[in-house]
Amino acid sequence: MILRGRLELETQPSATTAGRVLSFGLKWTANPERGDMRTKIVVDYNRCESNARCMQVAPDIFEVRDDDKLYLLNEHPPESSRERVMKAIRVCPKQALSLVEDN
Amino acid sequence: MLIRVARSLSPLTRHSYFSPGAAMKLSEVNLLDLDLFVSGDPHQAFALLRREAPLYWHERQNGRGFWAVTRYHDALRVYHDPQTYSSERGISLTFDNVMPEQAGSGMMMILTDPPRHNRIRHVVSPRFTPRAIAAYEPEVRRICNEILDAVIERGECDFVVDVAAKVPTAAICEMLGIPAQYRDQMYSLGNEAIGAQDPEYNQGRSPMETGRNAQAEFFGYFAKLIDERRKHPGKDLISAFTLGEVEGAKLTDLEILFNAFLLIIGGQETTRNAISGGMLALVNHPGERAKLAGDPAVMPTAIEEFLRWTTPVTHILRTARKYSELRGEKIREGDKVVVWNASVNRDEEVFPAPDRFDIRRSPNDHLAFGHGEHFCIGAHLARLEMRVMIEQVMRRMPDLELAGQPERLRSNFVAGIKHMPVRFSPAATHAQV
Repeated sequence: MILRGRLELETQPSATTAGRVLSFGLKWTANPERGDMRTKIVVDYNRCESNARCMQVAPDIFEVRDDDKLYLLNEHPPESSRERVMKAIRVCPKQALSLVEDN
Repeated sequence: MLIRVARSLSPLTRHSYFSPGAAMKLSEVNLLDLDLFVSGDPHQAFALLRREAPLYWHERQNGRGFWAVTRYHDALRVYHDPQTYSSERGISLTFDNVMPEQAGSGMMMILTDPPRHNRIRHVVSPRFTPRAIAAYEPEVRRICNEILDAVIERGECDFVVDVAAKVPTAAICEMLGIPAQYRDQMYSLGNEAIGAQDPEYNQGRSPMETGRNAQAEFFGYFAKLIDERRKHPGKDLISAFTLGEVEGAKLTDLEILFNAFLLIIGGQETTRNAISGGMLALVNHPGERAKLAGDPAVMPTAIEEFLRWTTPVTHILRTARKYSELRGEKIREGDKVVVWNASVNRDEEVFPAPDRFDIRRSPNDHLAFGHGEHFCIGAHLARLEMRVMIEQVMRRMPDLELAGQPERLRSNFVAGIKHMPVRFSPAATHAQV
């Protein structure tokens, strides 16, 4: 498994050089939950007709609102939702959804 | 009181399983034999193809053969690749002899490939979303009530002509802004335009001539409507077409005519057959009928099974625009590829016990409405009409039974029932909705 994030060396403020050298820490900040997918959901609005099958499958990611438009609640779905996202892509009657590499 | 219908040996009631003893051979399969679809057992042919030749080169006497696609995942491959499998040279074996330009290729959305297809479709697709269609429910309810009121005291009727056909005709006429007095004419012309291979609808003229005449009459009428709506636009679909723009330009009169024609045809035959076919399936499967009667909440699931079971559009044709491979076969440029939805919806790989009519079947990802670009624009309207009508029939005619053999349409394109004599206990009109 690849962990993506940022590793920083932090030094604590100290009056003496010795103190600075001795007091440091490593701070790890993981990237926001993207899982390994590094992918982004794309909606082809030329095809989307608000059938809302995607919303049925994953209402936490896809929402067709009162204006009858599809809104993506999470463009970068977490790994835990991969199966449901793939199913939404599959069942969309207009095949309006896809996943693309996101750099 | 539910009266059990004796199971007849007619292929019409047992068309879901093989003829005992008479195993069909691959060489005997002829999907162009229209009588197979009237009094034969097409599902026997489809099951054979799925098993032995899921991508089958089917010869034709007058013209080149075509590839018969009978399995679900291959159907999706074709539907999902409009760049390779084009709609612009026709979408049906029935109209294969018509010149594409005359048929409306590139203008009628069903005969147009992306990107232009989406742009034309977008002019009216917002009117067909689930939310937009849901607003029609009170109107559809009123229409269904009126239709049943007209026959409920008689105790008998032709379920197709008097009940099923009237719902989608009324609904699409309303949406197009066609006055009620023209509904009967729209019904007759629709039959002639699409069902002319059946002798009942061509009155001795050739199917081609009958179809052409019907289309001309439709166009004559719609041309007047278009003129009117350009002057006084309303909330109807014809007005929407006149106001809409595709790539910065208004649609031409001819484009509007072809698309209005598509909607008046697409909006009538198919849903009528889903309603009749669904009701017929209930009558022939009393166990399932009882389940539905006892649990009305299962209706949405039952509707999907009616659609899978009847598959109103039996096949859809595409033309290969370039070389491709499917199931290891080489599809040449210009080859016709015909997806047999009726077979796809019985694919054993996808539907457990596919020949079982099961109103609780779930999941039920049938392809009765197609899939991809050309997914039926009227799917939600069709579902609404089916749900409301069948609900009302079950409530107001709970003991409806066959009073004679249903007559099928002579077609391998439209899975039609022309007539379905039924009887039921007469009841009062204006029953509470």
